Amino acid sequence: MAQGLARDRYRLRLYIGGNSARSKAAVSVVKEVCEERLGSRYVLEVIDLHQQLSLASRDHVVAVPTLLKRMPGPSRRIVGRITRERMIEGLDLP
Amino acid sequence: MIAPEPEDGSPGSLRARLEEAEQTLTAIRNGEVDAVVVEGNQGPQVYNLEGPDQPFRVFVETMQQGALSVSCDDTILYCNVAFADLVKTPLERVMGRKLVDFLDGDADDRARSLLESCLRAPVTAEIVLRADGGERIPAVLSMAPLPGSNPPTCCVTVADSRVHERIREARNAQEAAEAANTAKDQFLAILSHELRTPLNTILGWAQILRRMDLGSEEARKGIESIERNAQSQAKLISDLLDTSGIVAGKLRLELRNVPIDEVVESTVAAILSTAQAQGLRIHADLKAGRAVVPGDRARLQQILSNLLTNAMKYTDHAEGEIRVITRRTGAGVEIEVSDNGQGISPAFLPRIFGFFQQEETATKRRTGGLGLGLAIVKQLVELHQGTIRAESDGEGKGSRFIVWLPLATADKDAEVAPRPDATEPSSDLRGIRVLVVDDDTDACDLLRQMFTQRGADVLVAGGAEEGVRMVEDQKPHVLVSDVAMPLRDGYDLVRDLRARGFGREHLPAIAISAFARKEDRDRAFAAGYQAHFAKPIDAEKVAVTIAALARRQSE
Repeated sequence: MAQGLARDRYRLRLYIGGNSARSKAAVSVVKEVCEERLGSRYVLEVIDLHQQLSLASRDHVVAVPTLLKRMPGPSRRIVGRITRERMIEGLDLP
Repeated sequence: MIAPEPEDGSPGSLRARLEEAEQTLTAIRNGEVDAVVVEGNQGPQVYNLEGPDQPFRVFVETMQQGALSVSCDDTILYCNVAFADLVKTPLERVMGRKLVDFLDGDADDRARSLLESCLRAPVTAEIVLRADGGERIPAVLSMAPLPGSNPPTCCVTVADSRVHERIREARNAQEAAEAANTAKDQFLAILSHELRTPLNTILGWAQILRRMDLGSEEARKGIESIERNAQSQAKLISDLLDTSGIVAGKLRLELRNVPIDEVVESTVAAILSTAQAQGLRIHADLKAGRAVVPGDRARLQQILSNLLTNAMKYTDHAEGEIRVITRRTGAGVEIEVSDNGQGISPAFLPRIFGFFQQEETATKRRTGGLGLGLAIVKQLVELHQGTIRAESDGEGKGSRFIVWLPLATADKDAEVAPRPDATEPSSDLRGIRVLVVDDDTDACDLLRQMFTQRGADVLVAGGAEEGVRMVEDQKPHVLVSDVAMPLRDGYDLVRDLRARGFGREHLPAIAISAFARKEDRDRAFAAGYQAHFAKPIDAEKVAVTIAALARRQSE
């Protein structure tokens, strides 16, 4: 999945808060929408705030779930409930 | 104004930042957020908004097994650190992927069927994981449906099967090592027995012949040489056994309060004739007075005797001189053994107390031995809570060994010291009927000769059965028996006799055995013997003991 980082690949980072229902739902929906809209043209990193807090600080994440679109620019983020609609609209997905 | 977008995705423009802050506040207000990060004095901290799940989180993150949540389409929604470590993949590259990505071979169908069945009831299966890099890891996987989850989710634990294998292997290795150790102990006991038995005959006959008139000076010298060499071989055998005992930590001291000058005096006396025969002078300057140390008399003698033998070995010129000095120093006593022999090179000095260490290489050896004597000395001194150091001004300039031992605390009773009697203990066996029991004819002949030479009336039995019969028929005064005999051994014999009413006061018994360990002695005493001699025996000492036991019986 994570081979090569061509320019047209989407690079997403999803910050979650452990094994909570909301976090699990976020992983599910992000994965589902990416598969559907981007096929294999994406790299998704799921990061648990409790496990890797330093990464969260570096990305200025203050609440989870937070979904970051890092590439292609401009960078965008969704904080809170992540839905299919918010993703398509907020991250400029095709 | 449009700010450039940094690579790490941090918001670049003021407007974008404001929008995101607004968005975050709204999400928090609407209860859409699990946790927030707050910058504190000690760096960022996570605050859960869903309640106190910290204990469970710590539990899941510290467990050795992998733990995951998997959606019904096989997506990994969460995993702990242990699972990421197991598959050698960074955490952020595990979550969001399919579980099947980490299974080996034709796992796709397998994972699907596991997932399907686990949504109905918990399942456990043996699987093979594939780590990043291709390593295959056998594991046990357990899956169970997460109650109340919608869409349906499974919780999964994964245990590395190799952990159990490693534990099993470690246990097997330990068991094998223990078995090997027991076998080694047994082998050493048998080895000792087999080496001592022929040595006993050699040494015994040499002692008998020495007391006879052999006619020529050559014959006398020859016999003395045989005896001396057999003695040093006997010493080597006990050194080897001591070494194996020390290495195995099995050497136990029988501690009593021992007057140190007395030990030194008797040890020096014992080797005086050998030293003089070698042309060496020995000076003893004993100034410890009545100082007593808590020690094992036999082992203290061994310490000193090894130091003296060592000094004698390396002092072989016409002006050879060995000095033994004892003195009190504060809370202890010092025993110094010095010589004017070949000395010790500065390079060898630090290794001098190591096992199997000798200054000469094997091909250039001028002296014999295995390099055990000083190592044993050091271990014995340390078992006595003492210290030892070696000093030498260099090659050709002699050497000095200084042993320090702590003094006994005053309130302990001093050992009832066997003061040297005015009269020599008698080995005269005239009028004493001795029954010798041994299955080995050589040994019987030897003992018969030893005791007959000293005037005893000797009866001989070739085994325990015959021994019992002869005790009943001939009423001997003292029994001298071998321990290791076929069918019924020496322990059986003495137990049988004691049971038949021949008590220790009517028939004192002496065990002679090539099994020389302390436990062998203890076993002999427990069976009913009053004395135990390890082969090779000293005829004179055995005779003295027979005489003493017979005398006590007649009194």
